[in-house]
Amino acid sequence: MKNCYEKVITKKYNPKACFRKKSFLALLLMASSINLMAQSEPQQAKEEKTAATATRKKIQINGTITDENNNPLIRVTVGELGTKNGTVTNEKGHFHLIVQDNAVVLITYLGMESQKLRMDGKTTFNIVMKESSTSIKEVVVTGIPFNRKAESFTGSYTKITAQELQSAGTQNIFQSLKNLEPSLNFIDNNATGSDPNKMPELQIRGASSFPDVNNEYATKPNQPLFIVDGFEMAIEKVADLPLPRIESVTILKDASAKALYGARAANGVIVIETVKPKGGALRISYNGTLGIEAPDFSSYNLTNSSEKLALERQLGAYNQKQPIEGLRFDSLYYANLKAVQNGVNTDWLAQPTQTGITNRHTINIEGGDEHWTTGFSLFSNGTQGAMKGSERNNLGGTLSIGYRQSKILFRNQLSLTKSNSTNSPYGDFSFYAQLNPYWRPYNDDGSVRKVLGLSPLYGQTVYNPMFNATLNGRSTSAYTDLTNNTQLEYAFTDHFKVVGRVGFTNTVNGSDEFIPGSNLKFIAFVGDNLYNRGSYDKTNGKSSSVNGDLNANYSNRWGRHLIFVNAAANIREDNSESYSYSATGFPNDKMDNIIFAKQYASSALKPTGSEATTRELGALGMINYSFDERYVADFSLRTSTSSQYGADNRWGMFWSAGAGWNVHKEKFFGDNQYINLLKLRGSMGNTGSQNFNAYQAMLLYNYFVDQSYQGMVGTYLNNLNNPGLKWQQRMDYNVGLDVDFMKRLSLRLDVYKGVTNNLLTDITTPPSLGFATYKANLGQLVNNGFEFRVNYKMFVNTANRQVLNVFVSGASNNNKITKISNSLQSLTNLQDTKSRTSNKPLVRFQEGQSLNSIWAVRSNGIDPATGKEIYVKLDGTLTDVWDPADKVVVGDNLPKMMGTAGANFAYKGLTIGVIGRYRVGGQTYNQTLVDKVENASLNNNVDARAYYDSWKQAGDNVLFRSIGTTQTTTLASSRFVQDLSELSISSVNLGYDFYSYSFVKKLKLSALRMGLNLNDVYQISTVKVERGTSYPFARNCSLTLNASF
Amino acid sequence: MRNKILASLLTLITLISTTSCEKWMDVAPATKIKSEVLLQNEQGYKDALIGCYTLMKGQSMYGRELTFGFMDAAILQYDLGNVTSYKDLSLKPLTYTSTGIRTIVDNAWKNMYNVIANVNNILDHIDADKAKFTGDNYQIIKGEALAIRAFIHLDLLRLFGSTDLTQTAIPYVTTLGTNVTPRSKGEQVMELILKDLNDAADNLKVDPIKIGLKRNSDIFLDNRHQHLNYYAVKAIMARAYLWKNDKENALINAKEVIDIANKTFPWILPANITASLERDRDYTFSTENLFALNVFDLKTIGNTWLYTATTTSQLQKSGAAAGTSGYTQMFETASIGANDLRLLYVTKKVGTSTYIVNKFYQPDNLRPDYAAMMPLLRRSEMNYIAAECNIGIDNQAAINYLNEVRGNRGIVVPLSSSLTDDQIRTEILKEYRKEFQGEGQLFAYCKRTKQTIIPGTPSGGYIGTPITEVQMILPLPDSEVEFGR
Repeated sequence: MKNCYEKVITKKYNPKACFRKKSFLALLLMASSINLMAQSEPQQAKEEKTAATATRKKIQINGTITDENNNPLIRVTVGELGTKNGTVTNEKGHFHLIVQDNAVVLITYLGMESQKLRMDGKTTFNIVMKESSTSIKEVVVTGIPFNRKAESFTGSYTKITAQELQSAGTQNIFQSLKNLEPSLNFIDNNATGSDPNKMPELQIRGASSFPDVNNEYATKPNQPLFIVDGFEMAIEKVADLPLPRIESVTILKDASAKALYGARAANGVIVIETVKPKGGALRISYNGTLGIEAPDFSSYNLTNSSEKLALERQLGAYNQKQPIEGLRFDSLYYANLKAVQNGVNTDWLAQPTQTGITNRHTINIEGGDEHWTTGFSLFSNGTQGAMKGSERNNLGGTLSIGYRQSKILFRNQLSLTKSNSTNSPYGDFSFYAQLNPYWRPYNDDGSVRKVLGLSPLYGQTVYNPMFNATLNGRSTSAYTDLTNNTQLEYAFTDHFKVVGRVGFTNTVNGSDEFIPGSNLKFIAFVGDNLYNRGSYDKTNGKSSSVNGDLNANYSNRWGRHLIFVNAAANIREDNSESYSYSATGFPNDKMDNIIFAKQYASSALKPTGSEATTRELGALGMINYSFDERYVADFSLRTSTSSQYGADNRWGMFWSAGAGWNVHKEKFFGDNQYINLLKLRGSMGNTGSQNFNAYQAMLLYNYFVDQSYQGMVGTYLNNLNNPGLKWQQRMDYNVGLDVDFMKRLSLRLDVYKGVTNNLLTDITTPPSLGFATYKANLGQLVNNGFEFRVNYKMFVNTANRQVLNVFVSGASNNNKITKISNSLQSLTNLQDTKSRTSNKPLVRFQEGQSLNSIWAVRSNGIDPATGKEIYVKLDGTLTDVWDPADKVVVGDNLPKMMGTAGANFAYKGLTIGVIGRYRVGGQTYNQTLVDKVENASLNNNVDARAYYDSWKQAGDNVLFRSIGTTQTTTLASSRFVQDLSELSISSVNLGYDFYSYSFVKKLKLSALRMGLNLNDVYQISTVKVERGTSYPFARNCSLTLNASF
Repeated sequence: MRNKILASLLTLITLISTTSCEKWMDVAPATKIKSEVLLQNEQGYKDALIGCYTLMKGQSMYGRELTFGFMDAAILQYDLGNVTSYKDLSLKPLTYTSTGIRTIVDNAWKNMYNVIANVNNILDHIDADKAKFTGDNYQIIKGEALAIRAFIHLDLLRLFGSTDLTQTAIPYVTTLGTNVTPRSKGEQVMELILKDLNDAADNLKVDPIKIGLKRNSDIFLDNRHQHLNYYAVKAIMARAYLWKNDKENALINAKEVIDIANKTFPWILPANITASLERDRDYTFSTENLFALNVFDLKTIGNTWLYTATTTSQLQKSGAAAGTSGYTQMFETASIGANDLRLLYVTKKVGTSTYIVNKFYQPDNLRPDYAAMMPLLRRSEMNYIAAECNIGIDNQAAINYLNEVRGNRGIVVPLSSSLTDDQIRTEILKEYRKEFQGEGQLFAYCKRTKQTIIPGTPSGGYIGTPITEVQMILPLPDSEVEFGR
């Protein structure tokens, strides 16, 4: 523990590290003091108890533990319940232990069902442990305090254990989920790459809302709901959760599963449970990861300096007709040629990038007695991105206290998280991909060159973007979050329980961006404007949320009838506000505080900001009935009201109904030994969305701030409201099948349909209503698809921990617009107009088509004679004129199928895991071919295909038009639509558990494990496209150490 | 313990089921104010009404475009060749298709209906809240709100509608909501305008201006001539009836204003415009204003477009261009107009022979009574309406009404008593041009009286062919045509 502490603080001696050091120290002090307190009290209690029971006899017990095949089990934990007393079995499966004569001994082993032994005078035991059949006995963690048995659950969900999560990656939860769950569609952001400060965009079972074209949404429109320990959490904080803190992740997908969150669950729910402290002796565990982030340029195919210069000359960049100009360009050519001949071939991609070092540490301290449990956990995450200077540093701690006495269970968890992120001072990565390789980045003395040279086409001065990184610029953001969750449970009887929970979270965030006056951005600021060089943008914000709920649960069994009833009420309030201001005029680069500014920026003459408060009330009733464990039925009803909706339709009603049939329990199946599980289930129901702006349904007035009338300040209407605005709802239908064959082969299959109704969109009004738009419920989207997962345990031998497990999973989703509003229609018209000047295919909304359709004009390729493109008009005739009216659907961005496949192998302490991700079917618009080949500017570096495959003279039968010396715009054409199939080895994991080594014990360790993870190792794709344009993608490799004391 | 939990459970259930939770659900935004909160008291209604005037004074409405900007440019009262924003209007007179011009027209429509929406929200709630008002404020606020609604609808009708009132014209919107009001025929619009104006006049019977009080110690009731007061309403009625070609009623309403005008809206004293110091000059003849908008930033606006404007934005007119198109010809300097106060003081010569309107000039320390005013209704218009209504009935009376204005403007030569009907009409047109320069009234006058050439343009006009009414009907925004009814 001490080691790691030193590791953290000795990393760097910069101010940030200092801060980290301080807060880490403070947290540690806090931790130890709290822990002392927590420890001291039970200690006392225990002493009293030992005094009281001192008269009791101690006895020695011994025994042998085997599995069902009579193989001895090694290192099975045998512990006396309620004490620290315990041992493990030896290589022959034997154990000895001295216990109280009335003790209860608990026997636990990973993958086996736990057993309790009562002494009853016996001292020798032969114990056979049964393999726990996780698929049957599993519980479903839905985020409400009462977990459901999977067997009686009719919903569709995926549960991911901590182990699976950690073996699929070490970076963050999203990186791991991406490798595990195909129904989570992570929208590839080709621009932001592996930027550690960018949040991923993900969808569960397709898009249930239209894209956010008018900033209608408070978060990403299709973002699922994240529930951590029962309370909603923002995506950024979820991404910052350290992986070792996570106990399990459950993805709730259909109506029956997400019904609890009815009003907010339309986009699906991801329920995360963090590790809860366990009682018993004081236990310290440490998890440390050291890794690297290496930029991946394999998708780039840029010309080298001699190819580039040759291409420039060939296309006539240096051919100037006027004699004097011609001389100038001739000398430019020879200067460049000299550079090429001198061997200048700068790898510009490598200049702003680095191999980033990441280090993550988590320490967990826990312990307690039969009443109290205390846990304290500290973590620090330091990630250096693949761009130089890009970092994300998190530091946090969690303190958990639990108390249990007969009918009462109390739990409180307090967490503090601090996150600092810094963006690379090198700016946009794409600047570097454009620079010509015959330019040198450094002077002979090693300093950064400010001017690189002249552009080959127009002879303009080209500056070195690296110069900006030598200046005192800054782009940072930070947040501090404090969350406290309290839970109090009272069991009236064995059948009736009430749980109340209160959660509070407060986040303070801010960002600073300082661009000093010498930055190249301001090079054109001369004369009077000179004093406006330099800019500073600052944002401060805070948000808080208070949540409370009260849950009552009744469950009982009468003969073959089992009933589970749950009633709940919840209340919640969210507040957020932010202010931002921009200032300009920082004459000296050293003056890097906003107070040195000359004035407010001309674009924002005053502070701006936003504020939002939303409130919600809800009530839920759900009932689950099962007959003879064969027939199961689920029904739930939730009603919610939110301040976001119109006064007339504020209450939303959400329901779900599901049914299941455990076929394997039927008599006609008899004592079938092959089929352990065969379950059919189906559900339907609706859920709502709430990630909209807070005040969209209100009629609001603004005060004039810079206008008056006769010295009086008036008010004016802000918007046209729609008091009839109601909840956007998604209706989900799901049919599923679960099979487990001989405890070896398991299969899960789900087929679903999701219909989003009452889609909240803008309605364009005639301006005679006084306003241009208002919000209304119009529009419908349908998502169809299926998901499967097959798991095959090829062999299991628990005795020597030998397991080989292979799995394959897949998901397919297609999406269709069935109804749109007039504003989307006008938007489509606007997009069509815009597409006349855009070299990207623009999104269009048309009923009957998918949101992910690629719209472009069909192309017959490049006429070898003229070099012009031949288009196919709607009626099939050919033309060389591009017309937006000829656009048709030429592809779909959604894959036909995507998923993961992998294998895990374990032998004794060694584990090996490989996971691959695949996508098949679907198309993509190859933007690289447009930007870097056909529309490439000769001033910049280009894709090598521009050199080899573009039209140069009559008779060239090639793929691309001549790039020429003047830049052209290639309008959306089917020529660039390519079928996309991909296979990537996304995770390789190698682990070793030192359980069988004696040094572990000598070091007083109870467990020691090491792991090596490689992420995004290799990718094969049918399409060659530059990945990571503004920020490169990175490969990740990390070494993890796990130790428990 | 059990009891405590049960009690708290009950409390929560009660909380949810009672109406107090409805209140709790009503979130109050921090940076904006909810309509029902604003309109909880009289001050809120006052703020909302003041807001309407503030919107009207915006530059895309009466602060510029609907007065000295687009309106006068469209009827070519300036030489626009160099003026970037309006030059399309002189390249293709009376067409509104260029992007820039179309934007101006669309914005005018949008903003006018936006003011109407604001006024409607007041009118939708004021009756229910009658008890919340003190003194006569309920009637004053309601009267003014109705008057604003009618005034703007009348301007919309004059600009976007045909003079043939049987044609479909504009929607007359009387409530705030998401239901689209269909476009009505001109006569229905006119009926609603007159109904609102009558209601407004009824409510404004308590207007202090009726006993001649413009000033008041209560800031809200101060400067009645800068609110739509009782007489302003009467003036709008006169204007509306004349548009309807109901001369009888137009005359009645005009005369009601004329009768009290010498007392409440007296003619400008020549000394107040001829004062030696610019800051003491009453450029808008403010005592005569029945209604003028308070444009607090008129100095900036005036400087941008007129007084210190660059050549690409200065709205100027050349003095003595060839033919009859010059500024001096307009003022008839060769015959009767050399001493016209409107030429000498309300017009400014810039450069050798170009003139600009001086009405909005705001010299430093301009007397507060004279400053920051954009006249929209003036007593002189009542004389012109009365004169027009008397043509063919009592020509002498008509001539007298015109002579009264001319006399007060420094034209010492009275009009001959023997003028024919048409000659009187010609004199009225001349007066509209001289009197309302920079006020945007000429366009509607030409449209109503079906002028065949644009006044001030060479005979035959710039267009070459006689202008038709169609050219003077501004196009509705595309979104109104597409989504309206």
